[in-house]
Amino acid sequence: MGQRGSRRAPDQARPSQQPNRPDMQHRVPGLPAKVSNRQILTYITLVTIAYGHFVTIGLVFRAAGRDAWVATSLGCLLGGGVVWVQFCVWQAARGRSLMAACTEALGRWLGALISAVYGLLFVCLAAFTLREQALFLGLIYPTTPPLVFMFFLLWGSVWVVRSGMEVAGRMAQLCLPFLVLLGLLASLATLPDKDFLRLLPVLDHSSMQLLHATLLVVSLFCDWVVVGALSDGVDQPQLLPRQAFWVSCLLVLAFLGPATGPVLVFGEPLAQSLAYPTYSEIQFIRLTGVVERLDVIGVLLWTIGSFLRLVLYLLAVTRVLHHVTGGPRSQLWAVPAAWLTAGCAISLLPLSREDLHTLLYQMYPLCALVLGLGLPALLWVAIRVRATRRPQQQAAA
Amino acid sequence: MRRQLRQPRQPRRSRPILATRAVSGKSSGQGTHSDIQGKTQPPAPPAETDAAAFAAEAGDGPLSTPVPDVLAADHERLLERSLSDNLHALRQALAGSPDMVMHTLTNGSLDMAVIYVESLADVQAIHQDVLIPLHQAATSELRVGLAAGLEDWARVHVPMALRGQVDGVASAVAAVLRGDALLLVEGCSGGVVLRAAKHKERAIAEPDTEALIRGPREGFVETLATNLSLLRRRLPTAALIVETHTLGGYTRTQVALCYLEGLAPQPLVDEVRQRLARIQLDGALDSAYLEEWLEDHPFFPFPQIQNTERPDTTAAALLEGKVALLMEGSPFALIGPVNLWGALQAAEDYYERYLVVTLIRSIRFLFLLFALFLPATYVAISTFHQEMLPTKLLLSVAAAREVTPLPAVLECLLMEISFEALREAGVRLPRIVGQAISIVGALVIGQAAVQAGMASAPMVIIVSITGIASFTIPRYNFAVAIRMLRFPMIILAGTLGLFGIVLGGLLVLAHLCSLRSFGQPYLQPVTPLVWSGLRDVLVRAPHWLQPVRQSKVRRWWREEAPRG
Amino acid sequence: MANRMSRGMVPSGLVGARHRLRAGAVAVCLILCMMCSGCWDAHEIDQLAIVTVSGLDAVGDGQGVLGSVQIARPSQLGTEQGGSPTSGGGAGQTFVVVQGQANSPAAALEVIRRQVPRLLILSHRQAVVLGEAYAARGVAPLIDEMVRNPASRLRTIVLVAYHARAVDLLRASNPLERLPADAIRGLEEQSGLPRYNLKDFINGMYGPSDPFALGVRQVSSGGRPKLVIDRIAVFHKDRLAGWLSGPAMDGFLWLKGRMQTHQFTVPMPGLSGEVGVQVLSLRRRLTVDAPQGQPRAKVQLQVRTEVVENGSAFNPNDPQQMQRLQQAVERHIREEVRATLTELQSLQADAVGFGDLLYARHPRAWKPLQTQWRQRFAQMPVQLAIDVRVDRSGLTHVPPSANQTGAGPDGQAGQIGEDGGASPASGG
Repeated sequence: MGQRGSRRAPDQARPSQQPNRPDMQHRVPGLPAKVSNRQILTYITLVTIAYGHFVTIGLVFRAAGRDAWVATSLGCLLGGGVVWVQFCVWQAARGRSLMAACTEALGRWLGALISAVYGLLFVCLAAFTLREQALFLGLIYPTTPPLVFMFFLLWGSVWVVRSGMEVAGRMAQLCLPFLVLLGLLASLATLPDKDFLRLLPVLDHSSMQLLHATLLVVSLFCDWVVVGALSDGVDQPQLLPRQAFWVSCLLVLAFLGPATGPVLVFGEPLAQSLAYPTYSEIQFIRLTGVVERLDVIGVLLWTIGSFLRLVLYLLAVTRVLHHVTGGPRSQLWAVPAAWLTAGCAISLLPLSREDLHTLLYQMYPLCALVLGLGLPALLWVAIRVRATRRPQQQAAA
Repeated sequence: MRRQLRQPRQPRRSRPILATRAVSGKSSGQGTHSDIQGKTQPPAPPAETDAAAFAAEAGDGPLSTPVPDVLAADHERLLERSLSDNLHALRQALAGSPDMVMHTLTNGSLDMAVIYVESLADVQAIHQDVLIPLHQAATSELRVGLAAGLEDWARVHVPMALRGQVDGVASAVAAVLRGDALLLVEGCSGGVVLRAAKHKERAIAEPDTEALIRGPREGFVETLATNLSLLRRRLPTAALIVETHTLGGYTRTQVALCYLEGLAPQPLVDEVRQRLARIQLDGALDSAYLEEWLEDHPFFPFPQIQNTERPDTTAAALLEGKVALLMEGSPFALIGPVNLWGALQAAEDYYERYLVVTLIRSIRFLFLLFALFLPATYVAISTFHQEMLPTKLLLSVAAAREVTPLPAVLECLLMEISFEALREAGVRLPRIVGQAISIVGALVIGQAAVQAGMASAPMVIIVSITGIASFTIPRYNFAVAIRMLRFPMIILAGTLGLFGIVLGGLLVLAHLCSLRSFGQPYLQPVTPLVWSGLRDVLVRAPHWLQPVRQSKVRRWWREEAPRG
Repeated sequence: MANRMSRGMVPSGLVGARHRLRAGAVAVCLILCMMCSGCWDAHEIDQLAIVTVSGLDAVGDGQGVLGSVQIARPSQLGTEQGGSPTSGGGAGQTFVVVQGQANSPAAALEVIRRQVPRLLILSHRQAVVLGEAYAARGVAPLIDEMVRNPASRLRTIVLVAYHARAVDLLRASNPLERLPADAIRGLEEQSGLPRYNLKDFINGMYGPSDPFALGVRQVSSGGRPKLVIDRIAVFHKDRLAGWLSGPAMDGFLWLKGRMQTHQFTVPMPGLSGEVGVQVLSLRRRLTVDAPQGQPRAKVQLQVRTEVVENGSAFNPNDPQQMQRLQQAVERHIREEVRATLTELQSLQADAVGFGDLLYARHPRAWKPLQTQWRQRFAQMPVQLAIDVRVDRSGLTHVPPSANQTGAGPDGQAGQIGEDGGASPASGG
């Protein structure tokens, strides 16, 4: 989806690395994992689509009801801007990553502190993902303790994190077309049940509600700050801002279906009261005589999405830990990162789904805006100021 | 048939193992020479250690330049001028071989001896082309040129192909044991090896493991020379490089590394050479012995090297820039690097029309998923997610399962295991009995189990579909890997339902994503993405759309982390 | 030495794989542990009680409800080992009905659960049957329970038992279908009833208009009871307000656009006997607006029909007669729709969804009407524009009886248009 510019990849000179001989790849310490721009964008797209469809859309319905699609489209376009700003900030830093930008803007110690804050954010988001997925699976497995799901998800993702970023990138590259296809089929299958009259009247909600819903979508894009922690492992980081902007604009298409589907099928009141409206929509599909309800697709879509989201955040946490401590190999931090996440997720256990969703509904958009847009923007300013001051200082000296 | 010899381009550095060295020294001596050509050969690079010599085992060097072997220098006796001494030494060396023939003959005052192993050499030809000419020639004529050198002398007087000259007893013994005849002449140091080896070989037949409806029907046999001829006839080009290596302390098996120069990436060839050099074996009886030494991930079920009995498949692989290994005594060529998608491609895919092939490939892919996930999905749905079945189907399944005593997971595992057993029995038994056993066994056991209420009919259906599905995968070793993974999937499905299957699927996927074959990603043209490669993955584009004269492997080759 | 050995001897990828092996071993152990400890949500199919239909009745005057579920008996449903399917009622009843009395739907379900030795699963419930008394009392608690319960599906059909208790209907079996649930679903799908399930009902309950439900009743034919759906239960939000039946129900189906395959007969004006027509296609358009706060509606129906039966002297080749037939069909439809509207307006129940439409199209006009919509709906003028075309009149010309009664001596004459049995269009 829209990774323009990455075609140029083969012509670009790349930093020389140790030869990736098959028998060496496990032995060579610190062999930097590189992924292509296409892979990282596919990855973040998949994660955004899966989590957005699964949780955010439900919250957007709660805020804006049948106008969710307006808020979503608006949010995706604004989100494109947010993403563009973020990647520009990482570009401004020499290491082309979030941590490098922190260091560059704030100096070594303060930079490490802010990096650690981001690390904490990633741990929290990973834990939220874990908890959310466990709660979702709780619908299907009412008596299984959520810890079981959390354990298996975490264990699997640690395995992937240890295998390296390129493995995760490949997984996403393989999964995304498949999941998009399933999603398209699902929205086609719901077509007979859709009543387009239910979208009317348009914009009947107050502008505050619409704004809230838009913010919820924008916060989804603020989460792309996580790519900043990984963007130094990307083939051509300098192309990322533009590519990411277009990808997030294209995501409007991916979100239009789920942002209208539940309202079209269930009507506004019911869509607002369902915990996972898109999942209920998939459940509602009946292909006469063949499949009674397509829960499978839901479980598949959201388990894969949550899993990869978890992997993404864990990868980011390992990178941050690696940066802060300066260890030999970031993958070695996979298990500690998983322990941190597990601790955080277990502390979230007492929260019910309603609490969690209220938290995500009320608090999170602001938090995401601060950490995903505000802070990067500040960093940018700081980097600029330093960059302009440095020649002056040199001149003065 | 002409064979071209190539010198490996890099020195071998691995250290020897004492035990193997002893073995190699005792068994058949040093300096066995695998292949000799009349022309002068570039000299072998000075090997630094004896292990290098062991690994390379003279296959690299021609007879005229014996391998400088520390061990050989210490222990090898040279062939003396005295015929009787030489015969004595050879008799000692070959004491355990009663089928050795030492034919001494005297022409006038010239004593000569021909030594060969009766069971290996072409006795008729030796008689015709060596004994009779030497016997009937005039002694004076025979003496001409003897002083100049034995090899040149033999070239004049013996109307049989020469392999070359040997100087040491050990190399002479090795030559004799390979089936050649050794000619010794009184008063000349060294001996001449005559190309007399002849053994029975199987006729070239259609390969059983890779049958097809349309396409070439030749298959490799157990003789390296024949196999190389099959390959060379398909690729009559000087770009086809064949390097021979000798492996196995006792077996001295010749392995031919084949690739097309300019198409195969040099790092790949170097890598394969390096891995070949690392092999330390007492005996290599089939190319499968090599496979386990060569693969990247020895602990995981997916095969990382393809094996084939088909010369056309091998030639196609070489044209794609891959590397093939042929081995004496094995009808299976090894091909690498491979990827997952190759496991779904049969030789016939390229001989049928592309539309049909595309359809068939998609069916194979679908059934690959069935083979891996179908029983697990059945278990998950029937024990965890009954709501997913249409009501009528649920009621039929419920009716069928009403009497079965075992939980679905156990029932499924039992049925799958019995199916595997049946399959195994069918393979191992003599062919005619085997088929009968498998069919009758399946019918009787399946039917009886259902009627007795031990197994439910839906489960039998699921197991049979899965069985069929696993047979649709063209590559047997890949199908076995899928079969193996099916069992953990069933267990996961029985414990965690669909979530377990999704989790298991993700882990398999992660594993496949991290797998490499000769350093190349296992899912290659799809991820990391190579657009042009997608023309031959699930869809086979027509041949006129396939890129011409561009090696796939070369274009995809990545030294570092992948892009795409 | 050991180190050197391992470096020299190991195949290519062996060294790095060790930690993975360990991780794999840990995972295998854990899975085995899980298997031993039992799996929380695993239920074998043979331990399930599959509920196909559930019913709810009011008991007494207060809160008491009588819940009932119909559970399929797979042992009576499946095929025998030989492969021949057992007949519906041959070996035994294909279902059992279990009932329980409590103060709320959920509690009643709990009472039932205790009586069944197997695990009750509701996810295959095809329909919910409400007793008339319970529907009149208000169904909100049940609907709430069904929305909350993740196992219940939103596709469930909501039915109201006409002058009966739900339990009694649950006990009735249909001779054609093995399970009453199949019969209900079959009736719903085949007989051109509105596709209206739980989610539509909920929408009606919480939206501007009123919900409705299908009315089911039991008739005995030849001693065997069977179920028919021939009524529409009209609700005031969650309370049953009244019934539509006969022409009013047909009119309702016209308004809902569900008459695609309907067959009916109309008397041929001026001729004795009736002509049967079948609907080929139906296009329906409802428009509502409220100029100056006065709601008004317009119903446009475009009906294409074909003649399937000619029991009169009707000559289809005569354009005038044809026109008269079209007028007759139109009049028939108009009467039915009018009957429905009159009935609904007298019940003050907006089951057709005019309120929804007004809100969707004119949200500003809707706002002031919102609070008193029932009254305004009852007085709302509805304009009917019905356009009927009779196609495919068939190649058979005139029925033989027509020859004697009036038209030309043969079909040819009739076609030329003698205007034989013509009479002015009767009625208004």
